[in-house]
Amino acid sequence: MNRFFQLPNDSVIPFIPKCGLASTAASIFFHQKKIKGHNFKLTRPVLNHDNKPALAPIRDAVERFKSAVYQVNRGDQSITVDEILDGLEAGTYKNQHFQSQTDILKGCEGCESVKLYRFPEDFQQMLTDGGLEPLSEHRNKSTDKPELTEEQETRVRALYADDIALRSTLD
Amino acid sequence: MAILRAGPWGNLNSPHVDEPAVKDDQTNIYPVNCARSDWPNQPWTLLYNKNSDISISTGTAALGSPVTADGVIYATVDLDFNWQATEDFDVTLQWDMTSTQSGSSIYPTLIWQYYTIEGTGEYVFDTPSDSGSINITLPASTFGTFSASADAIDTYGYGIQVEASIS
Repeated sequence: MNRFFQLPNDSVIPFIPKCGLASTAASIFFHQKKIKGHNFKLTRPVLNHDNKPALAPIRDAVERFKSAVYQVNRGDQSITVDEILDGLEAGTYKNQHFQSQTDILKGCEGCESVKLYRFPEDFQQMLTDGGLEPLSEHRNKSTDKPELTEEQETRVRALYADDIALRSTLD
Repeated sequence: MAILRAGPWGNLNSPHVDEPAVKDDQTNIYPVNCARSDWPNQPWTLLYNKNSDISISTGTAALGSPVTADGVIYATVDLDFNWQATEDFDVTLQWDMTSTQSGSSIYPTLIWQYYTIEGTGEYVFDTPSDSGSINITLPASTFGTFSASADAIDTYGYGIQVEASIS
């Protein structure tokens, strides 16, 4: 099961954490505000794509992993990179920020089309193609992402081999 | 600043609407409150919508009253109200999302947003921790409308509960 943002031009964006979700949501809100739509329901993600065309941001897997590590260590929570990697490899650590992009894209099955965009390079273009206005600032940007050791990065690349292969088709 | 009272229910386009006999979140009309206080003849109220893969219901809740939705794969709680206020005031949005099976994992999201008739607005979207609370400052306004939404997906489909409240 996946969530989707609904766009003004009747396309959808699948809910891929650490790929501009907060910025996408903000752009939809500002569009509603601009047209005085004031409909809260249109800014909430929905659970069905209704076979609409999908626009999907795809991020470098290592950068996305580092951003996710930052995200799950906000506030009073604390989990190390190695603990996360151990849990992901053993299948015992489940957290939406670490779900692979290729897994999430499986939720787009049945969409009229799926267009992929590089994140963050082509993110503004994705918003424009969805009928939204480009954003002047990136929301919820990670500010203190961890540096990975060589061994940790190797493990990340193994875990996200499919995401890396997908992204390489866009570069 | 004097404010002409709106309500008892309404929205930004129709600020004077009678309270509906049947509560329905599809009508987009919500209770009009006096900041965080009761009106002399109307207690502080929000409209909630509980939506999950096993049930859906809509009703009203008081300030501080938790609203709980139960589902198998997903559950959502939406909280909506309008306000009038001569000064900025704070509300607290609280959420708690749990799987009914230990070791399962839930994927939570949280949204809160508001618009005012004066043209201001704010929107926050997050993929937060499973439980928490946040203080939100709502501005002085002759008519403002607020919405919060907490939802979670249980990745294993063991069962999920989402609780949220405004206080």
